[in-house]
Amino acid sequence: MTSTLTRRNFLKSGAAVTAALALPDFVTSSGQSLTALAGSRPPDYQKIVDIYRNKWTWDKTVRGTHMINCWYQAHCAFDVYVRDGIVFREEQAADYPQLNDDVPDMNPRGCQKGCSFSKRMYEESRIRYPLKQAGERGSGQWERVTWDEALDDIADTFLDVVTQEGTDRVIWDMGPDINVGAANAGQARFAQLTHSISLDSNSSNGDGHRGAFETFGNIYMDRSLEDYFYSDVILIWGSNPIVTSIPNAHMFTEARYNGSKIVCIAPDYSPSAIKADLWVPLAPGTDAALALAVAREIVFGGHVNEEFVAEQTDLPLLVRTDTGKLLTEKDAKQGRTDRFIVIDKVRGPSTAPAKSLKLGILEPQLDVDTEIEVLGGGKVAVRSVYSLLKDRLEPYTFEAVSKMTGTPVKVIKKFARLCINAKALSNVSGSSMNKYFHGNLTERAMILIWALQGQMGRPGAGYSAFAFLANDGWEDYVSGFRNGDRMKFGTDIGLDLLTDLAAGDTAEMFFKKLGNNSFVDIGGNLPIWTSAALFWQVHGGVMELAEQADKWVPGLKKPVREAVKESLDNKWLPLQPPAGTDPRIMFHYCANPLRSVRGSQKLTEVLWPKLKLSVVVDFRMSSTAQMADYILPAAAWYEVTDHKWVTPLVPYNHVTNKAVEPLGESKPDFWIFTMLTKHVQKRARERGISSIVSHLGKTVKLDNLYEDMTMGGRFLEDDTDKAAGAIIDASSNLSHVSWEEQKEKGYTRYNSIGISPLAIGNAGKLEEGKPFIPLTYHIHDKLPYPTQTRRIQFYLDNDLYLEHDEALPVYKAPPPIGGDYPLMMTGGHTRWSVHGVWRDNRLMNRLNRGQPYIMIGIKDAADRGIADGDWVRCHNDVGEFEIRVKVTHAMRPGQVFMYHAWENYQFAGTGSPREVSPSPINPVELAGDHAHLKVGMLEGQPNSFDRDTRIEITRISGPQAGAAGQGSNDAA
Amino acid sequence: MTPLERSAVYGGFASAFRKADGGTDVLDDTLVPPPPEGASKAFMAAFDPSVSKTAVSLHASAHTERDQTDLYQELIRWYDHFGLKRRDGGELPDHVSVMLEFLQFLTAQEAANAGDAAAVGSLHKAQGDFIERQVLPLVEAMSGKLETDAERYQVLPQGLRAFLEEELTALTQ
Repeated sequence: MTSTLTRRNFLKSGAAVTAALALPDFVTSSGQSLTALAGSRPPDYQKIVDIYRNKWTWDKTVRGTHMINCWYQAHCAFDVYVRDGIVFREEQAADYPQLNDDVPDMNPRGCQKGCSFSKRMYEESRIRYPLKQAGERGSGQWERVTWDEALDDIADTFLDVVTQEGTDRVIWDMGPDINVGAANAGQARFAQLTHSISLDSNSSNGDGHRGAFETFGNIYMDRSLEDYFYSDVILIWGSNPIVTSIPNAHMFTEARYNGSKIVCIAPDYSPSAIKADLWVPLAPGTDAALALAVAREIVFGGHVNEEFVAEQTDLPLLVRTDTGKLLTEKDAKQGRTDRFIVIDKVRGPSTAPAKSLKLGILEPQLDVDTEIEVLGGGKVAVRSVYSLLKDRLEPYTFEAVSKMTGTPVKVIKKFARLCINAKALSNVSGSSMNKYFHGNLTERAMILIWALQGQMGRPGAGYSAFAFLANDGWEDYVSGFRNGDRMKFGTDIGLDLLTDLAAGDTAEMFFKKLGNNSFVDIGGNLPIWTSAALFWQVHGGVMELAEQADKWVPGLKKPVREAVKESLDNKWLPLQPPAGTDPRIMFHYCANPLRSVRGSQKLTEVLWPKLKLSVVVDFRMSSTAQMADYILPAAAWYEVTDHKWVTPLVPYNHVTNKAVEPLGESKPDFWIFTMLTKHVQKRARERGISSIVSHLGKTVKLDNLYEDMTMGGRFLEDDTDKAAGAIIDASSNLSHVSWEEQKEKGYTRYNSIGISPLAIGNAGKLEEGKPFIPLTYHIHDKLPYPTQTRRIQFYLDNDLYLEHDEALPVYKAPPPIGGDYPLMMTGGHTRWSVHGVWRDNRLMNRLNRGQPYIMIGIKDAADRGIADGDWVRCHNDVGEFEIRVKVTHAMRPGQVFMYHAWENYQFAGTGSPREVSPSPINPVELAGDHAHLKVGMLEGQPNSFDRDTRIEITRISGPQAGAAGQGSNDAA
Repeated sequence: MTPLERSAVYGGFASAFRKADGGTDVLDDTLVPPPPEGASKAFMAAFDPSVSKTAVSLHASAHTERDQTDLYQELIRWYDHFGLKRRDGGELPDHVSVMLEFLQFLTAQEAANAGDAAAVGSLHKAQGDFIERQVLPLVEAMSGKLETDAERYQVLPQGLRAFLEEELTALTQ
């Protein structure tokens, strides 16, 4: 071609050639017109160094952070450097104050992911324009459309569905990155006004901390990082903070300067194990046995803190041996079914205190095995929970547990001694245990170590479960600031709270109940949530993978499908829309279920065909976006002003400031949701649709949706900043510092845990100059726990637990999920990405192998003739996938390990690890109709599991047919 | 070609790489065929790696091992030296269209300073260096990786490369 061209050929004949300049991407620095600048004399240029003669300057620097769910370390303040409307770089702010002279400060905060977000936001996978699928879903054919075209089309389908089939056919798939800030408030207000359904993904992510929920009636409990400085033994158990909590990890090391011992309990020689004073290796999934061995030593070695146990736990309560049920006041005498009986050393059978944990004159016996007269005459045999626990613990001798766990006896003994001799024992919260089928039992067994010794509620001592801290003004915004500060989750808290308090409940119980109410219809004023895990199982077809669960899990009383049906029929667990009512529209927001849901291959097979519309709101291409009908481009985190939930570990509200305009045509999430209501309202009016009655029997006004969404014009689509500030102003725990000051500083210390259902369970006081210690309201102030017995509860007399012999903690071997195969596929978060966000980032992938790999031990690899870097097929009864192998000394025989979050399109061969992970529901987690075993915000829902997955690995010559032919920068 | 005609060609190519049907009013049809049916889809398949694994990025940072901050800074320095800055909402500085707009500007400025040999000399050196250091490596990288059935997008980088090579030849003579 080149040889045939003349210079004139380039220009179309008759093309306009003019001196007037219009450049879409430039303006002049001087403010004059481009044409005028072009008409002026140019600066001298002789060689490249001339452009480097002026000192580089920044236009501005603002405080920013990343609205990602990196969880425990959330978040880190950064200085974001801007020039010409582009973020060039970011730098750790590193000016967090030292809390007091005795503890180290948190600086520096920030990891390699945060330090490279300025690169991530401009990478090739960034979505810059609204996109419409131009072929079959997943075909990889897309066309660029305008916002108006996209929003009108989505609005029309939305109107079709809600008018013809109901509002509960519209699902908001809410992933882990929801921020409890303005962005999330926009979505939640839309969902609330239209009575559509939002998915609570916490348990689906495998983060449900079911064991803590069963024991405390609450999963929210963690300390501030400085408190580790007061621990003399820190257990890293079910976590890997050296990899996953980089900004936090130095605090553990600094605690060692104060004499703390760090113990890592993990099957593999993990990066955290390497840094520990003691590594306790054990077979994957046998942790409960280890914990019960320690508990046994505490009990039979005479180390029980009887005062703590008698006051704070259910161990002195009586259990009827004939029914296995807790003995209630009504059993023993005229009284209530929610009051329980102890044997007082002086007075005999007595009602345990309920409005307060204070025992007063009561001296409950711990070890009781007797008979007691019951109402109506006669006697029944009763035993205290403590007595039953002793029996339960009896088999867990060091020697027996060594056989269960594969841990040498001397290591178990050393570990037990450390736990028992510790003055202040703590743990580093993690969620690995939740991802085992019997993870609830493991967590309950672990909590025994702390509770039996009273290792809670004081500096450096306590069990950490689920880390979460949030503002409490968000609910006010979502409900439209109705009734001023008195309206929370659609309830007039002024009256209702007083009523509950008068009845002996606590504020914690009351506000947690408001969270519970969001899952059931109590009036139509609430955002409506449903369990994502249950949703994927029932509507997504994941349950079909568990047809063989009775072969995998010993002791199942009925097939999983029947167990789920029983729970749904009995309304133990609510599911919306109900089984048999197909979802029609899914908005995936901060979510990527085709990458994250175990067994996600079923979703495209079962759920997607039911959908009339799938919309992804994201700033990058994801596995789910590839299967969407529309991708709406969201602003990245330096392109919008907002704030996000954090954790007690770092109890600072973090703000990201809008440093630059959103790239391309991307828009802030708040804009997107608000504009969607505008288009729904417009199309409703054009189509003559005014209002409908939702599945809750309430009126949903469609022709006034934008007016309602904006609260009559108070918060318009461009008002993300204003809405974020309004949430802060409405928050009892953050409004002590103005929004403007918070933006400038980038972080603000919470002054209390607040009253959000998402944080109130922390139950402690955030005091100036002191580390935060959870549960002190219970332990110091004697407020009852939100459990059935109003105590830390180890005995669950729910029928499902009794049926499965799980009324008390017990060790059950990890079932061979996926079939009888020799390798257990465990996994964990990676150092180089938070979920999928950095998974295909070129910089991060240069720090590891840059493509999916599975880790296998040296012996297992040699036995199979596998060398490092080989391609293998991983397979079980459910499915298979192909991947490269990393051979490592860090992996024990029988264990293989997958770092998570590779996008489907990054697997060069067939499948992904989700295809071998069927994640059958654990039937006890279907419980309901119980005082505290019921669904709540981020808790009380069935979990997803993958750590028990068994596979075999076979060497192959290379990947088979490639993955879908679309996607972003695959580093493979 | 006159400087203004060259400027128009740069503008045409800049537009052609920005929009599926861009530059059709400027670039010769025999060089750059008209947009195909479903141009938006084909353009994205050819040039948007976020949706297509076989797409070729129009951003220089995707084709170099060079640090993005370093690359952006150098480009911004180029633009800044000649009095230009990024428009709010504009493309990133390493997008081929932005680079071509810059050359569109330099050639327009050359036209306005036709009687000033020193100014023209300065602009020629700048154009040559910019093409050689920034644009041509990007276009060469793009040309080597392009996989598309759409003739327009297949020939677009080749046409630009031919033009740049001729420009470079002329500028260095």
